[in-house]
Amino acid sequence: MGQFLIRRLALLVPTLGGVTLAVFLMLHLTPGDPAQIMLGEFASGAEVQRLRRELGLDQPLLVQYVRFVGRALHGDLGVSIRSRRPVAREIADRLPATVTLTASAVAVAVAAGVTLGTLAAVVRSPLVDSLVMAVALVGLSMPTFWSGLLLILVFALSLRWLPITETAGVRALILPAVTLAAPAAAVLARITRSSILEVLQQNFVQTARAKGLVERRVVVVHVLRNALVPVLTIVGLQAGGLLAGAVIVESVFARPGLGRLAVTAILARDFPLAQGIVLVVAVMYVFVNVAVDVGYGLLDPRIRYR
Amino acid sequence: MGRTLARLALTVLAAAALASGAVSQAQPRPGGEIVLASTEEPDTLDPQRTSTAVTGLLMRYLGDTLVAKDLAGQYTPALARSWSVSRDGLVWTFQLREGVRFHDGAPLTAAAVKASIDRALAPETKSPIAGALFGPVSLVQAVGDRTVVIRLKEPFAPFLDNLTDPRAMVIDAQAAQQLREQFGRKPVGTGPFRFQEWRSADRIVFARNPEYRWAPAYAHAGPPYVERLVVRIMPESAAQVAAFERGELSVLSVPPPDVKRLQAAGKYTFFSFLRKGVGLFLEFNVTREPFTDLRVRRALNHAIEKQSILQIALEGLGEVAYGPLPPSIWGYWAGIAGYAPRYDPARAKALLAEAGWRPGPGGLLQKDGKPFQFTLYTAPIDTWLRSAQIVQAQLRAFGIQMGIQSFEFGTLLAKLRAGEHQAEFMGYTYTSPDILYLWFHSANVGTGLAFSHYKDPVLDRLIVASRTETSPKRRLELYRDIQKYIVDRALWVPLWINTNYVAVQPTVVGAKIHPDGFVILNDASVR
Amino acid sequence: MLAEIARPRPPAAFAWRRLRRRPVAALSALVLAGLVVVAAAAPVLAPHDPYALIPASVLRPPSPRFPFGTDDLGRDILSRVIYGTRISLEIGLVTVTIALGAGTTIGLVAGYYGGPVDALLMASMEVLLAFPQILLALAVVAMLGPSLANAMIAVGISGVPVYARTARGVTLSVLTTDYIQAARALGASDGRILVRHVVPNILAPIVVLATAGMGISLLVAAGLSYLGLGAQPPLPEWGAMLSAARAYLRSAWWMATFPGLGIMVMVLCLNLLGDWLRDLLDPRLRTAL
Repeated sequence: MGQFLIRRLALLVPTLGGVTLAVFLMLHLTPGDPAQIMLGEFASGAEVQRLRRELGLDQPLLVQYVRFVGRALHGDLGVSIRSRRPVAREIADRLPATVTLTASAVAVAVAAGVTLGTLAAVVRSPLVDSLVMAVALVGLSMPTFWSGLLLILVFALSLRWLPITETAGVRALILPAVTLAAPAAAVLARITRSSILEVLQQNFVQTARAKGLVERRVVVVHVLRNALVPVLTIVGLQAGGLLAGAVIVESVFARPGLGRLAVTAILARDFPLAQGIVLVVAVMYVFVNVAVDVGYGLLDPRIRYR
Repeated sequence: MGRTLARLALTVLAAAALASGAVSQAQPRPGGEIVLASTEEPDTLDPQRTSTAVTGLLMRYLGDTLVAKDLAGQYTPALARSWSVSRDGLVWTFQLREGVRFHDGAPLTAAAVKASIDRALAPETKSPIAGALFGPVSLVQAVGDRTVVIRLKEPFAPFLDNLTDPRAMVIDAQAAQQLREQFGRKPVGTGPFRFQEWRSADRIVFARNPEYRWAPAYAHAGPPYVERLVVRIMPESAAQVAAFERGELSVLSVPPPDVKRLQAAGKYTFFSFLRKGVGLFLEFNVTREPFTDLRVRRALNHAIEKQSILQIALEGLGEVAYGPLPPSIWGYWAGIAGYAPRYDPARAKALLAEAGWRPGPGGLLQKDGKPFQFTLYTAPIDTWLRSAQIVQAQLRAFGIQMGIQSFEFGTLLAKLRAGEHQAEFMGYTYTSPDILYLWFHSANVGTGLAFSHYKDPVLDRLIVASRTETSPKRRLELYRDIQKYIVDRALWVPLWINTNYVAVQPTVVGAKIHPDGFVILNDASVR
Repeated sequence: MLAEIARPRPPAAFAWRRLRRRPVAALSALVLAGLVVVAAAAPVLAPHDPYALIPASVLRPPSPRFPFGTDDLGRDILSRVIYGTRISLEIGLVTVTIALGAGTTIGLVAGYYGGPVDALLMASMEVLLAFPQILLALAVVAMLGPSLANAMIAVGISGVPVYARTARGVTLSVLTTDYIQAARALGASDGRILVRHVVPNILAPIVVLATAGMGISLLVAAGLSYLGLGAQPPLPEWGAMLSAARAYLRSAWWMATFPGLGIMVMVLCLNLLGDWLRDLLDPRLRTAL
C-alpha cells in the first residue's frame, strides 16, 4: 500500500509542472495585450509601455515562467492585473464558495444517483427501471444554464419556495447544487444500476444465497462493496466535471466562485489571475484523482498489486 | 426633434407620479435597505483608477463632485458653493462649502481637494479616465481653507462638465496614501453613503452616512433615510429580472424584452430616460478596403433602414440616431436628422455602381473579380447582436455579404485600436460633446477611441477649437460644423439611441431619476 | 481494468435480434437516423429560409405558418431547428473524430512502444486531464478566437485523454497475453498484431466512448455559446439559439423550448444508443470508463 501511494504521489510533480507550463504558454500565446486592456480606452502608448515594464511583461517568456513557478512555490501567485489584489487573496475569497457548491453537488449526486441506481437494479419491475433511467437521462441531457434558469423560474419565482439572490445558507444552495449535480447523478445512477446487476449475477453471490444468508444482507454487504468500485471512479471523474460545471452555474445563480472568475480572467488576459486559478484547480483535481485511486486500492486489493 | 432633456425628464417624472401614485405625502420612514443589481463587478472602487462603468455609477452614492447638474441639466453647487473663471478661461476658482467631512471624519479643506486632484493627475496613479477629465491642468492651488484654484495651460471648454463626472469626485487622498492598494477595496469619500463591505463576486454594501448634510439642490439636505445600499453582482440578467419580480431587488435596469411585461403588471414605478450617448453605430475603418472609398460608406448609409432595426432589436424603445451625438447631450444639432443620408435604396445602388461595384453571379456585388465581403466586429451584447443580424440581412439584399464576429470587450478594443477590422459596432455613454474629440481627433488613432483611423487636419482643427472656445454660442456652432463634417465623410452609420428603463418596487418611495442616468436615492425610503 | 482478447465480432443478425429486444435502444437508433435524414434533407424540409428576417412576424407563437413560432428577429424557428440539426451532427462528429483520432493514435503508440515514449505521452495526457473541460475549451477559444470551428477544435482537444488512456490500456493488455507473446516469438510482425488483435479490441470501448462523447460535446458547445464564445450569429446552432432565448423565457417560451428539446433529444438518444452498444459489444466493459 505504501509503495502504491508513493508511486502515485511521485507523479504529482511532473504533472503539476506540465500543467503550469501549459497554462502559461496558452495564455501568453493569445493575442491581446493585458496592459492595454487594463488601462482601457483612454490610455496612451507610453502609458501602456510603462505598465508592461512594471508588470514584467516585456521580459522573455522563460524568465516570466520561472519567476511564476518560483513565487508560486512560496504561495505568491502574483497580483491580478485587473483588480491589483494578490491573486492568492482573490482565489481565497472565492474558493470556499466553489468548494461548498461542488461538495454539495457531489453529495447530492451520490445520494440521488446511488439511490436511484440501486432502486432500479433491485426492484424487479421493468417499469420502475425504465422510469428511473428516464429521469436520470433527462438530467444528463440538458445544458446546465437552461436547467438552472428553468429551476429558478419554477421553484423561486412561480412557487416561491426558494430565494434567488441569497448566497448564504442551505436554502440558497439547493437550486444551484441540484442543477450542477443533475448530470453527475444521472451517470452515477446508471453506473450503479449496471454494477449492481452485474455483481448480482456473479458466482459468489449465488454462493452466499445458497448458504442461506438473508437477501438484504447479501445485497448490502457483498454487492454494494463490489459495485462501488466503478462508482468511485466515476465520482472522481465527475468531481472534476462538477468543478467545471460550476463555471456556468455560478454565473446563472450569481454565486461568487472561482468559475466565473476564471472566465473573466481568461477573457481579460489577466495572466496572473488565470494562471493562479488554473493552477489551484488543477492541483485540486490531481489530489482528487489520487484520493480516488487510493480509495480504489482500499476497496479492491487486486488493484494495488498491478 | 428639438426635445430638450429637461422636458423629457419632467414629463416622465410627472407621468410616473400620476400613474403609480407612488409620490407619497407621508413622512419618509427611516431604515431599511435598497438592493440594486449589476451584471458587472467593479475592478476597483477607487474612482481614479477604475476602468469599469459600474464603478462610476456607485461613486454617485459614495462621493460628491465639486459641481453637479440639477434635474434640468444646469450646473448647481455641490461641494463647491460657487465658482468663477477668468476671462481667458485659464484660471478656475472654487469656493468650498463649510462643514463637509469625509467618511473617516477628516474635514474637507481646500488642501484636501488639491490633494485629491493632484492624485488623479499624478503619473504614479496611472489613472485611465479620471486624470484625463480635468484636462490640461498646469497647477492646483489651495488658497486658505476654502478656496481652490485650478490653472489650465489652455482653455478647456469641457472642464466644468467633466467635473460633474462621478469619477472626478473628491476622495480622501490621505486615506488613499495610507491604504495604498487597499483604498480600491475601502474607498473614502464624502457622499450620502459610506463604504461598508465588499464580498468578492457577491455584493458590495454601503451604509448610510449620518453626517451628510451637503446634497446638491435636487435632494433633501440631510442624510439618506435608508440604512443600507446593497449592490448584488448578478451576471445573468434573466436572473436579475426574476429576482426583481420576486421582490429581492428594489431597483431594476429593465432589459427591453421585459419592459412591456413589467409595465403591464401595473405595480412598479417606471422611469425612462434617453441614453446620453449613441447606443449603437456602425463605424468604418477608413484605412481598409472596401471602406477607403467615401462613396461606399455613403452608400451603406443609404442602404441601411434604421427604423426596422429600432423596432426589432430594441422593441422600438428608443430613437433612431442620425449623427455622432444624441439629442440628450448638449451640443446636439437638431438639424442633423434632416441633413443625414436617408434610407434610399436607389441612391445606394447608384453610389455602389459609381464606385465600381457591379452585380455578379448570385446577385452578389463584385469589383475586379472580388466580391463585396466584409466582417463586422462586435461585442456579444444582446441588442448589438440582434442589430447586426438585421443589418446583415438588409445588406444581403444589396448583394453585400457581411460576416459577424463577436469578441469579448477587452479583446475587441485591442483589435480595433490596432486597425485590424473593416468595420465594427460600437456605442457610448458620455455627458458632454467632448466625446467627439475622443472618437475623431487623429491623436487618438491607435491609442484611444478613434477606431475609424481617420486623420484629417481640418476636422482636428474644428475639434480643438471646440475644446478651447469659451463662448457657448460659438461652441454650439463649432459642434454643428463638426457633426455635419462627420456625416459628410460618412465615418459612421449611426443606428439607435436606446431609452433606458428603470423599474422600482412599490415599497420604495422617493427614488428619482437624474438626467445623467442614475437613480437618486437620498430621498428614498422603504415602506 | 482488464479487457479480454476480442471474441469474433457478433454477426449483424445477432445484433439485430438484440436490438429488437430492447425497444428503447431501437427507438433511439431510429430517432438518430431520423435526425441524420433531417439534416441531409434540410433544404427540402425547411419551410422557410432560416436566415430570412420577417419583420412583421417577430416573436410569433407557434401557428400553422410557423409551427415552432418565430424568434426575436422574425425568423422561423422550425427551419432554424432543422438546419441546426446539421450543425449539431457536425459538432458531434468533428469533435469526436478529433478526440478519437488523436487520442487513439497516442494511446496505441504509448502502449506499443512503452518506455520513455509511453511515460511522456501519458504524462501529457495527465496534464490535459487536469484541466476542467470547459476551462480548456475556454482557453483554446480565447487563443484562437470565438467561432464554431474553434469551439469544435477546443472541445475535441479536451476529449483526447480519455481515448488515449483507453487505447493504451487495451494495447497493453493485448500485448502482454501469452498468445501474443507466442505469436511474436514465432515471427508475426508488429503491424499484423496491431491490426488483427489490438484494433478489434479497441473498437468496442471506443464506440461506446464516442457515442457518449458526442452528447457531451453538444452540451459543452452549448455552454460555450452561453458564454458568447461558440457559434457566431446568425448560425442556427441549437446552443446559441437557446442562449439567445434566455431574455425571452417568460414572454416567448417557444424560442427556447424547441432548440432545447433538440439538444435533449439528440443527447438522450446518443446516450441510450451508447448504453445498448456497450451491452452488446462487451458487458464487462461497463467499468472501462
